[in-house]
Amino acid sequence: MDEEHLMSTALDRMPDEMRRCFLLRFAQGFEEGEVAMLMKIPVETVREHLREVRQRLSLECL
Amino acid sequence: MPLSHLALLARRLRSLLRRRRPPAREHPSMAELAAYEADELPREKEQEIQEHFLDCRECPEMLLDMKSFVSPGDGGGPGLPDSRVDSAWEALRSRLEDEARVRSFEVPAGVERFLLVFGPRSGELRLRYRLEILASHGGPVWAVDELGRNDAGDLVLGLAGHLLPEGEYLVRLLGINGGGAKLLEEHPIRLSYR
Repeated sequence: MDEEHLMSTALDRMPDEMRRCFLLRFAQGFEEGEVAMLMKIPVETVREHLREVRQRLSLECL
Repeated sequence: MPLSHLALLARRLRSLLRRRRPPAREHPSMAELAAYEADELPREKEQEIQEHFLDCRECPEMLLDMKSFVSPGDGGGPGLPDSRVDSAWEALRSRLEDEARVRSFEVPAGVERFLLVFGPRSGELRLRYRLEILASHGGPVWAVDELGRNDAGDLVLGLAGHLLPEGEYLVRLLGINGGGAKLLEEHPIRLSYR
């Protein structure tokens, strides 16, 4: 299975809110505070999602 | 995982998503963005707007700009620099003005039929459009289904003068998808005969 497919699968497995936080932060380049405002959730929740994504991608992609 | 590695993964994902996802959908209107911010939308619509934010740079920036005007200094970060505020205000004002401005059309007196050429702001091409003209009090005056864009991307509508006396109207453009119609744009116009 290639890396692209693994990443795609990892994205599909993420809860929607987590996936959106991740893509807004890193694919769109918004700051954590801006992601929180766009998603209308606390910035601490955004940080938790991003921490979780790092763990998931480490396990699933690397 | 180092942050730079994560950013690299994200860039690859962005490229991957571009291939997997359909092209950018139409932008939510300013009214929808304001309703999103005010928690006045159903959950399904909120989700749709959040998904749109992943494909579009303009709309999330517009929302952040709206929030910065409504509650400057909120969000835990430092205030925006003046240049950023100025450019954000210009973008916001331009979009608000575009949606709210009453466009005036003068038709030569005595003309029985004339053409309304409408260039939709939405970049998304749909197979069919419905264009409605409402009186200023909201009652329907004219509606045409099955409109398609011409080679220049415009919608051209033939109108009869005797059905449209001088006055102000609201032009609404709806995109037709399957069995449903979605409001894409609406513009107030003023029609006069000279």
